[in-house]
Amino acid sequence: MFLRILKDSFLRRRRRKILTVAALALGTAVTMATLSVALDIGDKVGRELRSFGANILVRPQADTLPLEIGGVDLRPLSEGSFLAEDDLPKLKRIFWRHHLLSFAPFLQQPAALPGGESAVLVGTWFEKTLALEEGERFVTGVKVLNANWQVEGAWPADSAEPQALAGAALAERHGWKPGDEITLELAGHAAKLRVSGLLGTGGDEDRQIFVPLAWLQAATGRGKVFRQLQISALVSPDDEFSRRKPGSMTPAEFDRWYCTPYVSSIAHQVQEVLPGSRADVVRRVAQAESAILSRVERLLQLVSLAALVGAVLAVLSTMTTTVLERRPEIALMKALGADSFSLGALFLAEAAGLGLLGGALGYGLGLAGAQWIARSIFGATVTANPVLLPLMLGLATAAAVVGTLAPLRTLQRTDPALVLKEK
Amino acid sequence: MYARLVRRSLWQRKSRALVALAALTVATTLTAALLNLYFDATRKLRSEFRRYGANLMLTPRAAAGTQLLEAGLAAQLEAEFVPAKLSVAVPYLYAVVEARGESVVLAGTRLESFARLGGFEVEAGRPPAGDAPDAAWVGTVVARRFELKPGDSLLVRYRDAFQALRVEGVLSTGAAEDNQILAELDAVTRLTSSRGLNTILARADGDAAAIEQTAAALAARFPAAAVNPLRQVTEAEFRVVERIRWVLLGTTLVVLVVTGLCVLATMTALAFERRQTIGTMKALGATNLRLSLLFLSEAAALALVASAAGFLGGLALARWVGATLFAAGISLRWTTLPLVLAAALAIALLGTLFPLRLVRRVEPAVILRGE
Repeated sequence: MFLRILKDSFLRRRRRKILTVAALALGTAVTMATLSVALDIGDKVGRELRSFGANILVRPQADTLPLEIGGVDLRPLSEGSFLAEDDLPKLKRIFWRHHLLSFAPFLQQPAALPGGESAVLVGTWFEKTLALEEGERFVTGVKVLNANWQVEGAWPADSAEPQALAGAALAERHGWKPGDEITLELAGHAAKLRVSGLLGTGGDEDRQIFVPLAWLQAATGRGKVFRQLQISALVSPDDEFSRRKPGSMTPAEFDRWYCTPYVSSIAHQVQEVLPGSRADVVRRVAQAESAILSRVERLLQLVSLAALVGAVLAVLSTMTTTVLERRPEIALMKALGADSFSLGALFLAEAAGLGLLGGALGYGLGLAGAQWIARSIFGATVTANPVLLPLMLGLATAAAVVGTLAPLRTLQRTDPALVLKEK
Repeated sequence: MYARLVRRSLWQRKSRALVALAALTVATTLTAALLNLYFDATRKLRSEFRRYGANLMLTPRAAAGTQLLEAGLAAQLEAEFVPAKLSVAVPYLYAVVEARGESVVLAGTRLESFARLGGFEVEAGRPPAGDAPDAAWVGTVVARRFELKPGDSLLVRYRDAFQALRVEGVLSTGAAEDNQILAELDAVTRLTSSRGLNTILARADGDAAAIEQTAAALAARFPAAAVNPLRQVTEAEFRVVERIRWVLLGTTLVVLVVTGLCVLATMTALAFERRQTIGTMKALGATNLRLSLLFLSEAAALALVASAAGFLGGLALARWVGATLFAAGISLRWTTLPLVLAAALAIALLGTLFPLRLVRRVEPAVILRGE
């Protein structure tokens, strides 16, 4: 009997039901959309912020003091320590290997240009493919690390070919253009380089000449070494916990710090895996990144909260009016002898059904909305969080039930005779 | 008479009017809060990008034939361009000196400006300041190598000249400064008897176009210097700020539109209840036009009240949010008031569409009979 009334009630007054489900679905959709975006925004904005350059710098631990002015190391070449290039694939074995977006090794060598002027050659990887274990391939190098470096001409290849990327200021002074051949003297003998492209960044790179690391190592007879490694890592914003020194943490705290992608813990892991290295956080980049990321995440959380509040209140008011509309119906049922309990149960069952339906629809709509936002702004998809489906269904059902029961309780107290006479 | 009608119709069935008002106020509060937040959050976020440090670099122009920038350039820059176009300008003069038997880079700079540019962490001692002429800050690598801590003295030699420096703090930057000693520019100029500066790093305010303009202005004013925007910083900043702004705008609009729709649904449902009232009024001789105006006035009245309440409530909410999020109050924009009012009016008036349709369709006799 109860079920028959319930089914009947559902199928009647279609328009009102559709309106209610629509309100529930919309409210759920907006909460779902903003919540999905809020949960994913840290990853999206974090990746965008990586275009500011490396946030971890690795140098040899037991090194003499580098004499670095304007990006140039003035030490004589016989001095100082180096790191082994063959150790680099080990980087993709650290705990946070999937957060290492790119890295590039650097080796500097002073050279003399015709006319006696000195210039500095910087050997590096441009766009090298590393073959890792399990058949994975990882593309890295300065082109990946600095995605917005503009090159006029072409990037050099990562082979031992004598190609070069010349800094724009240097090229302008000597009248070099892409395709030109330049002669210079390094490590006591002459060398020819073909300028494949020009690099203009506005910074120190404009006065340097970038060559493939393999070529520079061969030309100077150094073996497979480098002196500096720049790493671009996807990180979480810093908080009170991350600012503590690892040495002062208990084992449990240390595990928690190690297993959170703070820039300091990723640097620590890099230092662990590269023998003889010292990994430092590039403060300027890391501080800005952390401040911006935490602000953006908080902002989006607040927008989600606003969406939730707005949705819940709007749904509550919709449910309230729906119940208010049915005063004659309720009065009639009471006059026919229905007790408060079965009346409440009927309305509750209806509300729960509508809530589930609206919630499911809203989840789908909200997810689609979030994907559309993410795709149109970041060109990437949102990672769907499975816990959101039961959460949205629960929220919608709870809002529908509360929105129905509250006015129902007030209405139950009115005298049926009064209501029926009113009509 | 008319006003009394409107007031009466709103006052009776108070519950109905209150529900409509409540729904509308929720929409206006959210609108006011989110709009204020949107406008100010983007501005506040932009200022966070200052932490990326310099976005302009001045170096000696090779064509001018000089190896150094003129010594007085930094002071002129400071006087004419800071703080109008540049938020900070930091001059640098480098010298390779000897300390405790080893070569080390000594960087002379305006320590106060350096501190403002940021990008370092104080590992020991106090932050850089330009108060004492012989005060020096050392990088972490230098501190470790020479076993220096705050309070130690360090003697540096440049050719035949000596300078005694007192270590006031240890800094870590993750960049070149870790291997350098930082001291006040005057001290290094005296020590090296130098006539100029190696480079000046500056931070220009505004978007990419404004930075280009400032760079052009600087280049025109100081022809002996090559002025270059640091492309990586300026371009990345522009793109990231734009993306964040779009996300905020998108989510804000979505929230507002959907809230509005839900409110609309509420008001439409409420209006459905009033068929009887419409029937009665028509039977008493009210014209369609009269009834339509009545409903529209009701809606406008509701919208006005809801806007006022919502605007104040939204402002308070946005203020509180700004305080917790940015640790500084956000500035309130009175320009959002017309937007809030417009939104409220739009929703309220759209909500009358259904009753207006009813007005035309309803036949008094049919309704009063009870169907």
